[in-house]
Amino acid sequence: MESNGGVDESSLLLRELQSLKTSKRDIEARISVIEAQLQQIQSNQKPSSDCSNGSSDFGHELTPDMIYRYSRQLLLPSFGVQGQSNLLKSSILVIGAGGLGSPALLYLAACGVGRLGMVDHDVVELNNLHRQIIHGEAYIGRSKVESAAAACRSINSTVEVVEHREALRTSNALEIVSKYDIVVDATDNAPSRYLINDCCVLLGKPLVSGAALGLEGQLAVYNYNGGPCYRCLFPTPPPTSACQRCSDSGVLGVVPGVIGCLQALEAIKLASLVGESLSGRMLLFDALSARIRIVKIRGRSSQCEACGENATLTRQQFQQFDYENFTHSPLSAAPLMLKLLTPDSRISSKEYNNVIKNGSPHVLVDVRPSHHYKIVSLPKSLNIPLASLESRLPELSSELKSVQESNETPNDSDVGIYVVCRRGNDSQRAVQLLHRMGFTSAKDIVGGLESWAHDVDHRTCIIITNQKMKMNIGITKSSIIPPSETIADSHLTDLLISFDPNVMKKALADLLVSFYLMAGRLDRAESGRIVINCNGEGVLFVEAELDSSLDDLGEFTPSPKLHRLTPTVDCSGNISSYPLCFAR
Amino acid sequence: MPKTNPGQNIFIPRNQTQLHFYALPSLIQPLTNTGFQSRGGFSFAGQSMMQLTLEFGGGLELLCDSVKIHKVDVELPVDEKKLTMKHLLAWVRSNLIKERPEMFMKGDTVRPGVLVLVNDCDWELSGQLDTTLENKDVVVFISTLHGG
Repeated sequence: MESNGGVDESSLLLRELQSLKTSKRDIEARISVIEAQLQQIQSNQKPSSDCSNGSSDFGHELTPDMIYRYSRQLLLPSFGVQGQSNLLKSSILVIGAGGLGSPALLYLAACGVGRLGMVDHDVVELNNLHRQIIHGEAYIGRSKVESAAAACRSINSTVEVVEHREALRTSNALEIVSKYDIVVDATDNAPSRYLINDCCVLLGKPLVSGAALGLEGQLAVYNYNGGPCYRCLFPTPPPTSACQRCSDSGVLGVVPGVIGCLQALEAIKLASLVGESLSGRMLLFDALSARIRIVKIRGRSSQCEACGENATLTRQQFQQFDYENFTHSPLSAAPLMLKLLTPDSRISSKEYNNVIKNGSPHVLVDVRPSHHYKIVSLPKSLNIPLASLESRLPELSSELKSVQESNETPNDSDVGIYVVCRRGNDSQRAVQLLHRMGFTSAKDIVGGLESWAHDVDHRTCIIITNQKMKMNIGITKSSIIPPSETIADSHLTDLLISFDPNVMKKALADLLVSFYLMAGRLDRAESGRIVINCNGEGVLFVEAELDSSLDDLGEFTPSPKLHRLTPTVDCSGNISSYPLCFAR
Repeated sequence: MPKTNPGQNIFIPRNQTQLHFYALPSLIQPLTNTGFQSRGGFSFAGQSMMQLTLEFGGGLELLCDSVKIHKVDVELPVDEKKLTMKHLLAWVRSNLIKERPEMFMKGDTVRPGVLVLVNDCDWELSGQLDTTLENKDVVVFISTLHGG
């Protein structure tokens, strides 16, 4: 444990860091505004300066600066001045600023595309950086598009960089895509791929589509020059179990890097009108065996629902099409939450923590693959991956027996069986199997290790929580304040009346250090006041360490009611600058 | 084509007499193999055999013990003169797929999202299930990726 002095010092440093970051953000915002204004002024002046500089003397529209900047590719006979001028006049949209989009955007900006657009709704996370090389540590927690745009501008300020900080949806796709000549699909999920394909077919835009997972990558150019579209090749979406994500299956950083570079290359070829595109062919990359295979794929299908002879796809239908339902998977990266078991076959991670504390005899089976188990695991757990569970049941039986003997319980049915996995999906499948095989007392831990890390032991967090927008919360102190009188409904409509003000003040003074959380659900009553849905049990105030801040509080806006609580607490800093979080 | 022929290796040792005792059974197949290298396959014990290279990628290899490349000898079905992709799929399903067959096949064909390439060419161009295979053909099964 640290001494009090250490805590004070670190909280002071944290405050200073916070305020420095805020001013840095303001300065950067101002810089990008000024840069944009400057660019505007320069581009307005260009026509006259171009004439005086005599660029027309060269018989093409490249300025001397451009000739110098792009000289190495201008020297290429098969690319040359004509290729470069075509490129400068073209516009390319990169959808997704992640593992594929990072290198694609960097090369497209560097090579001198006229206008470069980027779409992404996500924020930069630490676990992105090993592959999403356009982003740096300084941008963690900030918009990927903001970060990628800054990187592109710093490489080539002459390129017009357009930021679309939103998810591509059926409602905005047509409008965004129509502004560009070429589309690069650098997304990470099946519904987006169908959505982007259909949009490109409707608008007649060539699509450079790349994908990467684990140690393999794939690349193709669709909807170009009479070639097939994505739907010609994959008319029926694959089952969701076949759509693995990098966040689940892992990916070696350089693999999407290779594919992203090839996407940039194909886009540059299309834009500059040089070479032979990868239309009607597909490139398959296997990093582990160092093999690249280029295969011939089918041509445009006359039966295709998007681009075929009798295709009926209209803009209106596109805008109403439910891509998530079509592919049975979400557009965003939210993980799947199965419900296969009845509640009596499941326990929460907190309940399991009590099982440990009470010393109840039990066996904990971790059904994750062994390479996941090696990263982090709970103490005394038995690792039997789901795939081999059925054949390795004797191991479970012998473990049950040894626990039974060491605890001297009369029979082995008194020994509990708990099953855990990463998020609580595979553990349910495992429990179903165990029930069928006669282990009827088996229960699974709801939410798996992620829930354990979140609710019980925050030290487990670091490796296993890599869900989007998830915050690691380490609770250091907590206090439950019960209501001082019985309340009719479960909402606390007036915080100070329902609680003993002195108890409340003391709790807040004790706990409000640098961050505070309110467990309980903030709500808005019909009168417009902020209320807390506390289920009649009271409110839990905790002091916690957070690894990030929440900018978005949804529809929550501070009300005078809430401010009345805070001034009674002695906080030397400005309390409103600290993030207010609420957890359900 | 494969330069390592087990039959040739076995003939290299000078001490051939030893081989007769314990290596003879394993010699039978390589011997017939070298004798019938025609495109039409070779015969073994009255059955026509076809040498094929099967590759699995995009995650499908996980269904066959994480082995990506399989060099296999496939028997022609009785009363059939040609081996078609339809036969091969049934053979793969019962001989190579070790788990979750539904991740490989749906009905009598591959599941949606799996590309089949015969000699680096989409099987859609060669007749899908009716594609006729020849000796030494390379068939690739690849699951489409969506990650990035």
